[in-house]
Amino acid sequence: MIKMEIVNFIIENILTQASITIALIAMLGLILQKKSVGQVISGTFKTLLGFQVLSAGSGIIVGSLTYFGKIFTKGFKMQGIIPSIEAINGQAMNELGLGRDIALTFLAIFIVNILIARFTKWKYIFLTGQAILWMATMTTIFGYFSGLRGIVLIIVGGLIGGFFAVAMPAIAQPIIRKVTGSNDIALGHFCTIGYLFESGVAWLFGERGEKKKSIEDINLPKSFEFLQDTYLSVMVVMVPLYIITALFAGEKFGSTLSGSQNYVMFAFLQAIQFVVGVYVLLAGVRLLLGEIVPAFRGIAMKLVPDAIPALDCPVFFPYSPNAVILGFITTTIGTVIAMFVLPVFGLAMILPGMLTNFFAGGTAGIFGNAVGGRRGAVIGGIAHGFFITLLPALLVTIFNSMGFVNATATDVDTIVAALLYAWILSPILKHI
Amino acid sequence: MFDFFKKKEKESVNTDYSKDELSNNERESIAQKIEEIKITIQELEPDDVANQGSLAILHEKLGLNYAKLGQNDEAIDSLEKSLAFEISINDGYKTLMNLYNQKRAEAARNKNDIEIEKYMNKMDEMRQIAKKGTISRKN
Repeated sequence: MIKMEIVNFIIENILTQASITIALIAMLGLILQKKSVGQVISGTFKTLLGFQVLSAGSGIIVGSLTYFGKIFTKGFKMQGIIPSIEAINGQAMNELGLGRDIALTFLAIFIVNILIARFTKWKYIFLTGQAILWMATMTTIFGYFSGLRGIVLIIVGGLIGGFFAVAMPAIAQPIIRKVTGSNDIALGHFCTIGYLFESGVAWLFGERGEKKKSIEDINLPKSFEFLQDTYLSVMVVMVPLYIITALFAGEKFGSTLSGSQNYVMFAFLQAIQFVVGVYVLLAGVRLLLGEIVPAFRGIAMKLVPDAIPALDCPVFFPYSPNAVILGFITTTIGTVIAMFVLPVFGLAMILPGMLTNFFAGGTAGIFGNAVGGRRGAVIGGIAHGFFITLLPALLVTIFNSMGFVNATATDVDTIVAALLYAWILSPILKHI
Repeated sequence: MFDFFKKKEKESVNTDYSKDELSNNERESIAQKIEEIKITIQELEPDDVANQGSLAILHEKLGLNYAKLGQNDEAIDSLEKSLAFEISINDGYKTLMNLYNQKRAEAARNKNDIEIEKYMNKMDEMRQIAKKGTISRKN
C-alpha cells in the first residue's frame, strides 16, 4: 500500500514536472558518458536550474508582450506580432504546460537523428542544441494542436524533427560544399528552407557564369559594430518600436497601463523589459543545454564515427563575410516590406526580428551570393526577408487560438514542420 | 535540382592538405619558411600591444605552413596562438576549423570521450570567433 503511494507520488508530482524530466534526461546522458558522481549531480542540477531561469525569462517576456499587444491594437487597430521563437518556447514550456513533452521530444529528435545517421548514407549529426529545442517546441505545440497526446505526440515529434535534423543539412550541403570547398562540415540551422528559397531566387535573377561577381570582391562599410552585442541590437529595434506604438496609442490609453508613471517612459522600460526577458531566457537555455548537448553529442560521435557534424550558422560567416552583411541588410529590407504588405492581404502585421535577420539573413546572403553573385544576393535577400515574414504570419491564427500572447515563431524549418502538422496531419487525424 | 552544383563540386578547393602531394623540394622550402617565421616571431616582444597584430599574422602563417606539412598538432598550436593575439577570419580560421574537425573524427574513431569533448568544445569556440570576426573585420 505504502509502495503504491510512493509510486503514485513519483508519477503525479515528480515526473509531471518539466524541469525534473529535463534534469533526468541530462542525468541519463551524463551517466551514459560515464561521468563521475560529482559531475552527474552538478550537471543534473545545472539543467534543473536552467529550466527555472528559462521560466523566469519567459514570465518577463510575456509581461512585456502583453503590454505591447494592447498598445499596438489601440494605436494601429490591428494585431502586431513580434517574431520570437524564444517567446514561443517559453510560453509553451510554462504557460501551456508542454515543458515535459518538449523535453522528451528533444531527446527523441536526437535519437532519431543518430539512428538515421548510423544506418543510412546521410551521416549528418545536428549539433545546434538550441535549434533542436526550437524544433521540439514547434512539433510539440502543433502535435498537441492536431490532437496528439502522450507517447504518440513525442514519437511523431521525434520522427519529424529527426528527419529535419538530417534532411536540412543534407539539402544545404551542395552549396555549403561550394562555399567551404570541403565536405567535412555541414550547416545545422533550422532556417535552411529559407536559404534554399534565397538560392532559388538568386539563381533565377542573379548573375551567372562569366558575369557573376562575388560580393566578396568589393569593400563594404565596417560600421556594424553595434551588432557585436546581440542584446544591444535587439534593444536598438525594440525601444523605438515600443515608444512609437505608445505614442500612436495616445497618452489617455497609455496612462491606463502605466499608472502614475509617464506613458512614454513606461513604454521605454517595457521595451527594455523585453530585452531583459530574452537575455534571461537565453541564459536559461544555455544552462539547460550546457550539460545535455555535450553528453549526447559525445554519444552520437561514438555511434557514428564517420559523422558530418552540422554546426550553427556563424561558423560559416568567415567563408563569405561580405555576403553576411549584405544578407542582413537585404533580409531586413524584405521583412520591412512584408510587414506592410501582409496586412493588406488580411494577415497579421509581423514586426521585423533583428536576431533572425542577422543570423538567418546573414547565412542566406552566403547562399544567395554563392549561387547568383551580387545581384542574386540582393534580390534573393529581399525575397528571403519577405519569405521568412510570410511563413510566421501563417501560424498566427493557430497561435492565437492556443492562447499564445502576441508572438510567433521564427526559424522557417520549424514553421514548415508546424505547417505539416496543421495542414496535413491535423485534417487526416480529424477524419479518422 | 542540384545538377547545377554537382558540376562545380569537382572543381572545389581541397583544404585537406595532403602530405604526399608535396615534393621534397617543396617540403624543404616550407620548412625553411617556418624557420624564418620563427626567428621573426622571436624578435618581437609578445607583451607589446603594438606587436599583437603582427604576431597574430606571423603565427597564422606559421600554422598554415605546418598544416601544409601535415604537422597538425604544431599547426593547431600556432593557429590558436594567432587567434589569441588577435581574432581574424582568414585562412587560419578555416584551416583550424578543419583541423579540429579532423581531430574530432580521429577521437570518435578511437572512442576517446575526452578528446571528442575537447575538440567539440573548441569547435563551439570557433562559432564565437566567427561571429566576432565577421562583424568587426579589419581587412
